Parts: sequence; structure tokens; C-alpha cells
Amino acid sequence: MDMNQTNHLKAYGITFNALNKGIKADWLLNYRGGSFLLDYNDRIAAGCRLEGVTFNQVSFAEATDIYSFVQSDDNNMDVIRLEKAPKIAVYVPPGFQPWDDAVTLVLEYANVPYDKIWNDEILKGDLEKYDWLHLHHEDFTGQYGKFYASFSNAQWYIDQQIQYEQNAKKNGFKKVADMMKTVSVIIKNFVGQGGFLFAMCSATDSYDISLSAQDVDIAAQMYDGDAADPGAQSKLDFDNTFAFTEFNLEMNPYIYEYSDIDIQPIEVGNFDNDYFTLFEFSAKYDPVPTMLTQDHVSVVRGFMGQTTMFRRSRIKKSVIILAEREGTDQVKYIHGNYGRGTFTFYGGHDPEDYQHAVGDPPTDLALYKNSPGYRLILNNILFPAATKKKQKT
Amino acid sequence: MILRIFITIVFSTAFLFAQNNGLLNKYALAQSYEHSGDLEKASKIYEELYQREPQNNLYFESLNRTYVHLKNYAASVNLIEQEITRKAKDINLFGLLGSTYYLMGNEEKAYQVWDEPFSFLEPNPVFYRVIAAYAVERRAFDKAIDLFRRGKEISPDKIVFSYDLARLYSLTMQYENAAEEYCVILSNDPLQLQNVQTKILANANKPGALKVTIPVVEQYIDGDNLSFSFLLARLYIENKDFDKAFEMYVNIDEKQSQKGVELYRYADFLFREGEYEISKNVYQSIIKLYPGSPLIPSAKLGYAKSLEAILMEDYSNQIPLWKPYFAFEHYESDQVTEVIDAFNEVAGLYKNSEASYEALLRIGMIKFYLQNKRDEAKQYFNKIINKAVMSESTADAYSELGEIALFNGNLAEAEKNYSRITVSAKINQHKINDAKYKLARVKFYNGDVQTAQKLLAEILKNLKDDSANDALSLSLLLNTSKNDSANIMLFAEGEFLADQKKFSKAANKYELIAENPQAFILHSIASIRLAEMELALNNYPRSIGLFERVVEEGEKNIYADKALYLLAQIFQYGIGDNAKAIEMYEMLLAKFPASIYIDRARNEIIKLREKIS
Repeated sequence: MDMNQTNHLKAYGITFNALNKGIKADWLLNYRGGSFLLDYNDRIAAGCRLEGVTFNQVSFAEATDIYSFVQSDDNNMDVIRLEKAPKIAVYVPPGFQPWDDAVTLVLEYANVPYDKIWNDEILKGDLEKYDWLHLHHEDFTGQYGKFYASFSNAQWYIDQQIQYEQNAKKNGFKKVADMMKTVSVIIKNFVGQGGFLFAMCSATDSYDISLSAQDVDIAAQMYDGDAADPGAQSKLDFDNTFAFTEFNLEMNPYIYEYSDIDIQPIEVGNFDNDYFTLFEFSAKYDPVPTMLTQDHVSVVRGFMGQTTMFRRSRIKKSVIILAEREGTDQVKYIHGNYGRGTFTFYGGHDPEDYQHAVGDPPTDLALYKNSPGYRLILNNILFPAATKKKQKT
Repeated sequence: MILRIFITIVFSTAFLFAQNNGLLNKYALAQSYEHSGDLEKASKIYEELYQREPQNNLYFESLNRTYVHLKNYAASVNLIEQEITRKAKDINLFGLLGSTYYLMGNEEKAYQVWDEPFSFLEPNPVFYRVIAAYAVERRAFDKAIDLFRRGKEISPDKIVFSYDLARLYSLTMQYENAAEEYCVILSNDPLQLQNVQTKILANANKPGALKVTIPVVEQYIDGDNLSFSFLLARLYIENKDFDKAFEMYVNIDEKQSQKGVELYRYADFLFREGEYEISKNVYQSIIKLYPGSPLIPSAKLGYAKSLEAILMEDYSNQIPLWKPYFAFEHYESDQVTEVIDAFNEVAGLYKNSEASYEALLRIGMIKFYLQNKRDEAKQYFNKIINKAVMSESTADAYSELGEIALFNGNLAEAEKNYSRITVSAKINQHKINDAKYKLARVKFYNGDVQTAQKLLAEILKNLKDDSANDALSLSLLLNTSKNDSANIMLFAEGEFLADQKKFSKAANKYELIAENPQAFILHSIASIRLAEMELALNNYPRSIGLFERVVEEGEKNIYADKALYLLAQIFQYGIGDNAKAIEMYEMLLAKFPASIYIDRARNEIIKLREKIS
């Protein structure tokens, strides 16, 4: 799927839905920007036309040539067999959201089926029904996104706080922060048992902070009723986290930031220079990071979020960096393993809305059919479908 | 002796000053520690200060605050209890003590402490508000509601408590109870309507809120207190229950003797919302109920416009808008007469006003497009032109006269009318460009290609104008065919006939060009026009054959994708074979992936598939 593809995003939906119907697909890593090869049938062809997805019909001989070319040692390419589409859950609170979620948007746009789940479902063990879980802008620290200074009088903020408090009460927790900590641990266990976690924006750092602060109160009075532990910083347990370590909490409840993991807007600098570069991995030796970085461009326009990018010095050594701003310590996209599962964190809120603010209208993806930033999200829903190959290293 | 006393006083004062200064410095130091987060050190200094001056409230509050921040709740409890022994009637101390117990997680004890002062203090509604504030701060909303309720019972000012209660009920999604409190407020003070309405509507979109709020307000309807009627009417509108809202406004107008003011506002609102059937009824009611009202002329205009909007919705459903060309259908119904009568009445009432000219224009258009009574239509348009040179409706009247002239085959008359628009300084640029485009076509039909191209070039100076696309298409056609004067003139004749809706004759002209493969681009456009003429004549089999021929030409004919799209439309709307229509649309997607009809085809496929399933 190189620049000739008319709708990259819907191509993922076509492939995902074909897998759901029991049709096998091959992901030709790095071949023409990372392409999918499926057995021809009229329904798939009609589906591609209906969705505006460009496809080429190839003969058996041509397909053989392609396989041979892709698998040749001379090319940094490989074939990955996709067998079973993962069952997807997206973690979102019920009811209206004052802003939108890039993953939900792109899943809807690409016609990829998913379920919405929230704390009730997670706490009663429903995660075991799913293979893939997405977290977006939720705050796992129980500080309601740290929007207090700007939005404490806004109706949506007041409603949100009540909603969380009632939810915590219903589930037997005195504090929202305590419920979120429990939810974080359950999600961690889900990954440990083989689940795939994909988090964006503030769900990335707030999730890891929550894991590190299991035994300490980091939420100020306006968030959970009592004061934060003044010695909270020294009580964080970084062994519990997935991706981040040695970070410093932002304990001031009036500052819209959780910690020093996130890169500040001033550090990002000029809007015009905000691009991040995808690393090129060896397709044959590192198929997972290669799948996660399949794109038709290698330099992608940056985008902000409550958590925009991650500070390199706060990322654990065991974590693979998938994309960064070259020449800086700003990392956009990371991946790692935990137990039998994996996690992938992607900074920023909406790949096609540079500075998405509360109350902004959602992005119309029909205008961004070839979005490389959104494509990275969709790589994440297909890579769990890959058949595990014996690693060459 | 005097000197000794003086010295003693001076020294004592200096000692006290130094002592106070020292305490203040210590207090400042403790605050610094507290702000820097070193609560342990701050607490130690506050303890020392409190021991030195236990009567100093500032030291007490600071010490308690640090205890709470350090989660040293036992110390906080001891401190406050100690303070209570000295100030047993200080209601705030009970509020603080209850808060500490609540933070400890001991809700039961917290509630008990918060209730305690009411057993021995004189009944005072303010005390309930004070303790409720502590409960709200701890987000113990149920307890706060209980306290506000009890305070309200003994308070002579119910309104202030009702506001507090309503706020907490809304916050905890008890909308029915909130509605009760808001109604209590309105019962006591109808002037609070705006305030109450704003607060209730803020929750109207919450799940289930409106459903439980309306029955509560209905119970409070009171002939003497119209604030409930206003509120209920607004809630009915929010709930899309327009008939009930109508009844409410009728009632309000009757009670207020306002001669339909509220009804008129309501009708206008409905018209803006596109609820024409109801707005028509409401305007009609004003006319019937208040014949002497000064609002009658406005109500009659609103009534006529509502009627017209309903008529146009019906008319649009009956004409084949999917066809590029179709014959004028004579559309006659009681509705048409009703609309014309209504506009005639407005024109009579509003003589020499914009409303009157607008009414004449609408009548003229109905006569022309719906009834095909061109001479009568001309009379209405001429009335506007003769009476109101400066009216906003004048340009439209000229344009319609131009259309009639074109339809009648009178190019000179059409040119004259369109030209009048292009030279007027009062008319907006969009209307001028529209007239220029029509004028360019007239020039083209007259064989004056050069002037036509000049006019089109003027339009194309602003590519954002609505007429720019049409101008571009015609300009391209004229440019590419300028060396083929015989065929271009033949094509102009065809176009002119098509404008006159003489489809059969137009088809003959187009056919001559379509049969000539040397005519290049004119061959392409004439081929599709020929098929479109047959389609206009409802000759589906022949039009299908002709469109298929264009499709077969593939890339040689730039209109092949359009032909395939129209084929699909014939099967969908003309023949009613949805499966075949889907097949055609899918073929369009397969053969012409870059066509401008792709998105429309996709939408139609999705729509048809849903219909079939």
C-alpha cells in the first residue's frame, strides 16, 4: 500500500473483515508500503470498490513472483500470514464524551467491529473475552485528567466526576483512584496472560503511573477528598510499570500534567517542524516492530495530546522505540512485552488534528483516507492476527 | 517613680512586641514549610504556636489542616474535640470534626457528629447550611440533601434551600426531585422563571431527565401563576411534543390578553425548525383567535410561507429529480390554490412592501413551474418590475421572465431580461454571475460564441462563485469545438430545444452529431444528451440502449461514467430493479474508480442493500 493506494485506512477494514469470515490473508511487510494479499473473490473485490480501496488482481504466477521477491534475502521484506482477527475492546465510559477518540473514529471508519467496555466489565472479568484492548485519553490515576484548574466548573467535568464516583461506589470502592488502580492491575494481568494492549494519549503515562502508585495516594484533595501523600514520589514502584521508569510526578493539582514523562509543548517547538520518524526494522528478524511501523511514508506529521510524546530518559531499556523525533529525546511510539502479551503506546490525541481541544468537533476521516498517523493505529489491530513464526534470532 | 513606671511600660511593650513578632515569624516559617510540602516541620511549628496561643483560630486551623494533609486523623480529632470543649457552640467545629471522621472512612460517626449540634443549639436554618456545606465538600451528597431538607423545614426562605436541593438532586441525577424543588421556587417567586428554566434545560439532554421532569411540572400548572405554563411549554418543545406546547401557548395568550404574541413566537420557532405543518396551524390559529391583533399581517405571511413549504415538499416528491431533463408536469391541487390565495392576501395587505413583492414572486413561480401558466406568471413578475425597481425580488423577477422567454423560444426577450440583471448595481454578485451564465447560453444559441466566451471568462474570474462550474464546462466545450462550427451550431440548436423542453426535436439534433465520430468532444456530449432526451421522454428501453452505447465507448467518451451512473439510476428509480441498479453502480466502481460519481454510487449501493435486506 504505497502512494497509489486511494484509501489506506479502509484497506485494513477489508482485510480485518475478510479474516473474520475465515479468509486467510498475507501481510507483505515493506512490499509497496506494506500490502495485503488475499485470495480473490468477487465479494472482496466488490467490497474494495465500494470502500474505494485500490487493489490489483494478480495471477498465480505473479503472486509467486511477489512471494519470491518479498522473501528474498536481498530485500528487507517478509510475508506474515494473518489468520484470525482479534476480538477488540475499547475502554470508554458510557454516555457522551466531550471530545473524541482517534481509535474509535478509525475503527468506525474502517468498519472494524469492536465492543465498548468500562470499569464494570473489567472488574467483573470480561477482559478474558477479548484479545485486544485499547485505552485512549482516560486517566488511570483518579485525577480526572487533571483538568481541575481549567474545567472544574464546566458541566461535563462535574458530570464526569459524579459518574466516576458513582461507578466507584457501585463497585465497592471508596475512592475513584482506588478503583482505577484495581482496573490497572486487571489490565496488566490481561496483558500478562497474552492480551494486546494499545494505549494512546494520556492513557499511556497515566496507566503506568497508576501501576507505579499502587500503595500510595498521589491524588490531591479536590480529586479524592483527602490530601496526596507528600512523600508519594519516593514511594513509587517502577518495577510495576510497563514502559516508564524514574519519572517525577507533577503533584501540583492545578498543573495540567501528570509527570515529566510527557514532552511539553515548548519542547516540541515550532509547529511546522513537528514530524516524527519511523524506525526501520528487519522484517525477517523483527517482524512485530516491522508490522507496527508499516506505512507509506517514513516521516509522519506530529500531533499533540494531553500526552504528546515520551521523554527518552523515562523509558525502560527493555522497551522498543518505534518512532521518535530525530535529533531529540522525544519518542512518539513504543512497544514492549509483558508476560505472554504486548503493549504499544502512541503519544498524541488525533493524528490529523494537530492540537485537538476539549469540545472540538471530531475529525472527518473521509478527508484523511491516506493518513499515515492513523495507519499506525490500524497496524496494531492486525498484528495480533499474525501467526507466530519461529524467530530467527 | 514616674520614670520607673515609664521605663517599665516601655520595656513591657517592647517585650510583648518582640514576643508577637517572634510568633508571627514562626507562623510565616511554618507556612513556608507547608507550601514547600514539608508538612511534618510545618505541623511541629503550628503545634508549638497553638500551645502558646490556643485561643488563636488561625493557629488552630493551620494545625488541623496539616494534620489532615498528613492523614494524621487521630490528631485532628483530638485537636478539634479539645477545641469543642472550649467553644461548645461553634457549629464550624462540628463541621470540621465530621469531615475528619469522613476522611477516616467512618461515615457513620461523621454523620453523627454533623447531627450533634442540632440537638442542643437553638434551631437556626443557617446552621444546617453550614454543616451541609461541609458534607458537600466531602461529596457526601445524600447527607447534604438531608441537612438542606431539614433546614428548609424551619426556614422562612424556602427558595434558597430549594435551589441548593435542586442543584444536589440534579448532580446526583434525581431529576424528579430536582423538578419538585424548582416548582417550589416558581410557586414562591414566578420571577425566577428564567433562572429555573435555564437550570432545568441544562439537564434536559441527560438520559431520562425530561421524561420525569415534565409530569412534575404538569402537576403544578396553575391558572394564576403562568410561569409554570411557560416552563411546561418550553419542556414540551424540548420533548418535540409540539401539539401540547401549542395548547400551552394558546392558554398563555388567553390569560395574558397578549393577542397572540406568544403563539407568534412559537410559530416562528417552528417554521425555522422546518416543522411546517405545525407552524401553519399555529399561524392559522393566531389569525382565527386574534383577528384584531397587530400581528395579523406577519401571521398571514408566516401562514403563506408554511403552506408553500408544505406544497414544495409534496411537489419535489412528485417530480423525477433524478433525471437530468424532465418535462413540466402540470401540478394542480387544492394546496396550490390555497398557497396562491394566501400569498395574494399578503400582497394585498402589505402593498408596496418587500413582503408584498416576495409574495408576488412566489405566486409567479408557482404559476410558471407548477401550473405551467406562463402568461399569468409573467403578469406577476412584471408587477414587481414595474412597481419596485429597487426591490430584492426584482432580479429574481427578471431572471424568471428570462426563463419564460427561453422556454417560449424567444431569445431576444430572454437576452433583454438577463441583461437587465447584469447591469444593475443593486444586485449581488452571485445573481449577476448567474444571469451572465444564462446570457452566455443565449448568445451561444444565437451563434455569438465570442460574446458568450467573454461572459464566461468574466464569471471565471471568481472560481468560488456558484456559476463557475457551469461556466467552465461551457467554456471548455466552446474552446474545444471552435474549429467545428457546423457541429457546434447544431449542438446549440439541440441545447436550445432542450431548454424549451422540446426533447424529441432536440434528440434529432443531438443524434446528427452523435452519429458523427469525427465530431470529437461534441460527439461524446451529444451521445449522452441524446440518451438524456430519450430518458426525459420516459423512453427507458431506448435510453438504456443509448447509455449502454456511451458506456461501451469507454475512455473514448468522457461521459461514459455519467452514462453508467444514469443507467443505474434508471434501474433504481425508473424501472425499480434494485438488484440491477446495484450491479450498475458496482460496475461504475470497477470501471471508473476516479469518477466524480463514485461517492454517490457508493451511497446508493449502501442504501439499496439496506433496502433489500
